[in-house]
Amino acid sequence: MSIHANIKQELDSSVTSDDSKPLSNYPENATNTADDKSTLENLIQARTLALEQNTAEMLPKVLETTSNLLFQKTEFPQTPSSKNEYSSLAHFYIDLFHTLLINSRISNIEKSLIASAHFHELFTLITTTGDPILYKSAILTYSQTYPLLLDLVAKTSNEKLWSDMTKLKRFIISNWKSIYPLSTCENGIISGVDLDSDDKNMGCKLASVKFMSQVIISQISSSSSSSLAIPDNHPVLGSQRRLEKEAKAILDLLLNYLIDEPMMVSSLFIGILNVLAFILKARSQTTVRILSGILKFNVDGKYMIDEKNVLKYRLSKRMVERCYKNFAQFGIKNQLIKNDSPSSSSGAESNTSTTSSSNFYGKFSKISQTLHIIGEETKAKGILNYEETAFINIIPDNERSRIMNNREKFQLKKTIDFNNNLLTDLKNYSLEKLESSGNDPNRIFNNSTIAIDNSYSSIFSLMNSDNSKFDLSQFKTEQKGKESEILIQLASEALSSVDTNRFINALSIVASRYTDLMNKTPNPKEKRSHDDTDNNNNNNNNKEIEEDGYDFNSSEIPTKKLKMEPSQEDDVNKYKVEEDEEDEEEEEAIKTTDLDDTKYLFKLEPMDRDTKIANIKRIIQNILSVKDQREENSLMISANNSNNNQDIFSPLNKIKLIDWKNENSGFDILIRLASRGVDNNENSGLCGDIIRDNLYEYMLQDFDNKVGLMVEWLNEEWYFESISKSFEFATYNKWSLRLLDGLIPFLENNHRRLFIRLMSELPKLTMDHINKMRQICMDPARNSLGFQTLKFLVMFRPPVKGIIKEFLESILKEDATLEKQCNSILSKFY
Amino acid sequence: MTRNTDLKFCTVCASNNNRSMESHKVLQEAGYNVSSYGTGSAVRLPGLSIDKPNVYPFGTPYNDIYNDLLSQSPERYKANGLLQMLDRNRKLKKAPEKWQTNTKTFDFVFTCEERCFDAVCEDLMLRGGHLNQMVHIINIDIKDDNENAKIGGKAILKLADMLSEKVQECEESFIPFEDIIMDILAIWQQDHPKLPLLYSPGFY
Repeated sequence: MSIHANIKQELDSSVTSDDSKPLSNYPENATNTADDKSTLENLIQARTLALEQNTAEMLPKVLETTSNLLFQKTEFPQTPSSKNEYSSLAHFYIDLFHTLLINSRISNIEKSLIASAHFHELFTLITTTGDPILYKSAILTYSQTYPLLLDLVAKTSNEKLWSDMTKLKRFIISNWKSIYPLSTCENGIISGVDLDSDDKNMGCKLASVKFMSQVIISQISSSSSSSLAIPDNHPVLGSQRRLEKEAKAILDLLLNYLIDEPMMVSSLFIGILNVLAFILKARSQTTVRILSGILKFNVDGKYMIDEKNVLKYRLSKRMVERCYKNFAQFGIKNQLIKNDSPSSSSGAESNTSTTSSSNFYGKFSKISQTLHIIGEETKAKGILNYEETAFINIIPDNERSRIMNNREKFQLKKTIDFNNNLLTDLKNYSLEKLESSGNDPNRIFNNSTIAIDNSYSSIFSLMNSDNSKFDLSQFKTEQKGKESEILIQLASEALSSVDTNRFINALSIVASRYTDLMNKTPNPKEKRSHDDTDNNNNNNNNKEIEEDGYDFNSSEIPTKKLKMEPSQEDDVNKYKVEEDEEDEEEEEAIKTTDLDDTKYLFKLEPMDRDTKIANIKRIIQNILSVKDQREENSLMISANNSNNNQDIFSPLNKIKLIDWKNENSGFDILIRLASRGVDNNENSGLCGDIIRDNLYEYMLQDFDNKVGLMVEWLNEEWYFESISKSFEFATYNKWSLRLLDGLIPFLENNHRRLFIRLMSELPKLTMDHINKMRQICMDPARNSLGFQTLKFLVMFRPPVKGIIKEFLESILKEDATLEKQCNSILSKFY
Repeated sequence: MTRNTDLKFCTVCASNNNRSMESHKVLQEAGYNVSSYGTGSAVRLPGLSIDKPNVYPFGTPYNDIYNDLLSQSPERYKANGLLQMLDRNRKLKKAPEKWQTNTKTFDFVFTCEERCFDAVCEDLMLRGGHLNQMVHIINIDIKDDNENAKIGGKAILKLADMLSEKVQECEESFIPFEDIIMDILAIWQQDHPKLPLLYSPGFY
């Protein structure tokens, strides 16, 4: 039986038997027996038939059938032909839905119920389609259903329906000026920012504008008759006033566009003027708002979009002016813009209203007349008879950049708002999961120290698979293709606020999973020897194996490749690591892999000494290079990326310490790394001392400004040794003395403040430290620096008073010429 | 070229006799789905003297008008081409129709005079956009005589062909047609400098 016959029979039987059974059984049969193309043809015939006879009953059934066919597929079609068929069916569905809604033979009550029944499908199409033509049609259809659904919600208090309607309304309105669903321009920048794209996606913009006008008319009550009976303080819709407030805000969006849009977007200007006429006619209480807004609409102030096409600009301007004139004429002829004299009305309010109305009448009459004259003159002169230079109206560069900046900020805010909403959803999702697990965190986390497979997600995921289904890829960024940066940012934010112990636990679990996997990975050397034997035994097969990757002649199952993360796909061919679940399978797999053991994913050998040293030097250089970065906002940028503007704004580069400063915050890391971050034994290549060497060298260069850093470093060294009960303070002593050795020869008398600060803030002073001052004190040109420092220490650092006395006495013995300086301290403080 | 017969065209002049009917004929012969209307208050045709036009209500069959003029002065009305015009019209449809009372919807409305363009635009505003359907209204200013009606008819066909072709292309490549209509109109205007053009996207 043909599909058409099927449909016809179903429709006939449903009509003749008066059985209201839907055609829900049909789609399964249809997809099993006929291709989509013929299905569509049959649906078209069914629609024609339904429109000819018994429309009220048959047309909804054809719509139901189409909906079932369109939405029964759980997966979006992948092949081009199936995509085309899906697209054709979607277009047909929307057209049919619209046809039904405007068909006079179907009652409004019936239409409301059908609109409600198909709302979810409409919602899905609008929010997911990438086809602008379908998007446009779907918005116009939603526009048609909006008053019906609003009325239904008012009567039935269907909260879910109203919530979804509101979501869809906001979705459309948030995209109305953008080029959604085209989504991106060629350069990958998200739409709606570039001025040149202002006249793109005009069909969707016009449909959105029409939808907005429908919302405005539906949500503002009619002043003459109560077309929409919404009781005040409706349990779902809220107060009428709130609905009207929202409608007026939407109306302002339209009016502001006319005023603020800098470019000549003629079609949209005309579209808006047309829908404003609808609103003006349907809701007279908006008159003042609309007319005041339109009076600020300056057609002459709009710039050319296509700078080379003067004719197009001239035509556009002429068309907008004509529409403006028609709007004025429409208002005047239909008494929407009235010429009432103030004396004819009564009451203060009426007087105000009539006065503004009269003002509007005069202004719009004049505008209409002037625009008519301009139009006639243009026509009389000849549409192509004009001086090009007189019509060129290119936006100045500074104006363009000002507008672009504002738009980028707005776009950024929009993205941030979107992401914030998504974060709230994520938070709610987590709380919901926690709640459903009886508030037991252990039931939603995956604490297992064994990964279920060797994918990165298995190694790093700390949530149960059932509880990690939130689609994080929805996060948006300013630039397409940079979505992962949001995730990096999320991770970095989480790291900055996570409880340390919890984080250590998490890392331990991940580390255990790695260890477990590494233990399961066969030792490369064993593999090699095993393989050598194997090779000897299977010489005949080897060539084929090497060439083809696996043995076609063998009856064994071909090797399975390790499941890798997408980012590693490039390396998959290099890392042919086998699954290791069964030894036999593994043996067979080994035969087929690249046997170069340096290519294994995990290699169990520790780093050798030289590699360690090379790495630590590279790390030091990278950290030191940060001080030379001059970017604002204290961005920390890796040396390799410093020339790449794109990477400057990467979230990874935005991770920072609290109060991060490029000039010296890197040293905080180096100092901490040297004092307690790395091993400092011989086997480890004395990594700590390598860092200290670098710090030392750096501090001695231009030491005038680095005393704070010196003090910080040596304090860290001392503190770590004191908490680790290393009371010999070997490291501190070694490096503080070395620093003094390096510094003192270069000190002059003008370094008094620097040196006094250094000596007074060093955490521990021994006789060795004081002795380093001998050189200064014995130098006639600099001894005032030495003695001033000693005097200061005696006065303000009592614990070292004793050793200074000892020191003074010893230098006095050595050089009698210093008697005066020494005695001035000794006699006064001892 | 393949003409898109799914598109619904409409031509409009004041009396639905000369310009709109010539364009109606040309588009219909080209295979398009087309209707025609007049926006005036009544059908007005030249009379035997300048101050005595022939006035008929919309809906009066072309055949009746033809016979009426034939009874007045066959020579005169044959000489000024009115009888030939009415003969053409009665072969296309029964009677002149008034735009404001029609309930059909179209994809493109071609008006032949700015006054008619304004009337169509204002009428659509008055209708209130209850159907949420888009329509493109295009005016091509054609002088109301036999010769210019023929020139205008050809020009409208040319524009209809350009629009039809682009609609097809846009549907196939998922480009919104409304994005390119201004470019099409500018190109067309360049080729037809003596037929000033107006355009307005509107809503039923």
